[in-house]
Amino acid sequence: MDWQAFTLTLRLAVLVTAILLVIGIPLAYWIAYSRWRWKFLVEAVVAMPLVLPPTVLGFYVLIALGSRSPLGQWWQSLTGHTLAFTFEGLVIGSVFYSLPFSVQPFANSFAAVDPKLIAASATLGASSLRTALRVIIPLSISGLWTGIALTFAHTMGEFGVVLMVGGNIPGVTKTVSIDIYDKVEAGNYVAANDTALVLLILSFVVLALVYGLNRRRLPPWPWK
Amino acid sequence: MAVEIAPKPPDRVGRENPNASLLVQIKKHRRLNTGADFLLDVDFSLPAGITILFGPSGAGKSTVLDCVAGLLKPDDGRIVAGQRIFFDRGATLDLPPNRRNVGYVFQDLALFPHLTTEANIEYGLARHSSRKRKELSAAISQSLGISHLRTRVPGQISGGEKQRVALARALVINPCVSHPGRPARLERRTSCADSLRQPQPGRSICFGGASRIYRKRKGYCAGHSL
Repeated sequence: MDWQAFTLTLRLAVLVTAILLVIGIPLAYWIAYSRWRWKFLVEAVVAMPLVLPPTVLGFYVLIALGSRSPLGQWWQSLTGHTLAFTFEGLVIGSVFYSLPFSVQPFANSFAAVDPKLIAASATLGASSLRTALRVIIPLSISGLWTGIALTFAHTMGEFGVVLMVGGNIPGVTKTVSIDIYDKVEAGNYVAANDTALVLLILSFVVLALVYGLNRRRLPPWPWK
Repeated sequence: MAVEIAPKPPDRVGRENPNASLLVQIKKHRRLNTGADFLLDVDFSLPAGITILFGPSGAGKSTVLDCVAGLLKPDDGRIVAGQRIFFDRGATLDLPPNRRNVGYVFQDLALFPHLTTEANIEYGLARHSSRKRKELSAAISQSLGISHLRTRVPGQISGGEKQRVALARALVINPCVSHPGRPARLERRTSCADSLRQPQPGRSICFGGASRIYRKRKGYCAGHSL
């Protein structure tokens, strides 16, 4: 078991999940409640990583982060190196790749909140922000947990985008799934099995935990 | 007052009452589930105190109340509560529901299921200090006989208790107009009726969903037929 790859993957998954929580909640809120007629186009863009081959997404992220792109040049002037084949680049690629895994469960749970409760909150003088924080988000806890777990587990097992954007640099961009691939390529099936089994068990535990928690429709404690 | 299904009725001159607590002059076109067009055209002003809107099912009582609360936008007209203009098509003014201060009890009550009854009642009191919030909520809970439900969530209390919590939540914000739900249900509890019979000066209480029979039996003087 390559612990360096494992901790790097864990760090990546935690960071991507945290970023997608910050970006995903406002985006999902907008998708759930906006009446903009072209909203479906944004929904399609968000869902694209679900159907797009990871290599295609990885390729375009690589181009966007490369030294010839404005973003790559800006980053280079700031830090002295490009984003491609770095951990930061990997985080950006993973955020795009895992976007639908957080935004879709978030948006579905926001849209499932009874509109009467939102109206009741408004008649009681609450602003949209207060309604979101006190009514919509607490009642969407199960959807939030689902989104968080899916994003985390999905990022843990990511392969194509990582290979395209990050390459295979030990300690920098070499994640667990790439480590497994390396070991299989080298014919070391026993070592590959050790790592694969850890990933398998981890994914199962995370999802079982979330589905177990989501059996309750409401949070197990009354909110004050 | 009358509600007429299309064709559109002729415009009537508004009967503005300078002492009115609530003035409603609105037109609202709606398409019913049956596919029929429905034009609500109402024009009335109410004095402070209790008023009952009555009329047959589908007459538009709830539509009027939703327009007053700001949950529906009228196509035309104006709504004025005391000195505050809620809606004025001519002046393109449409106050959002969170700035109208209308105490509204929804037909299905719409209590927040994740909040305790105390937190439900205190929800509209965000501008007050924590101590003041507790004080106001305790006072109204006591007058409606729901003090003992303080720590329970709506899923743990009976239907009648839920109604009283919803009523307390709507009235505790000291609304300028309140819609305390259907009168026949609430009237059964003397405490509820008493708290409603003592409205603040200059405030309107507007019931929806009452029938003519109810009006005769209870002897309320003010009534608007839709």
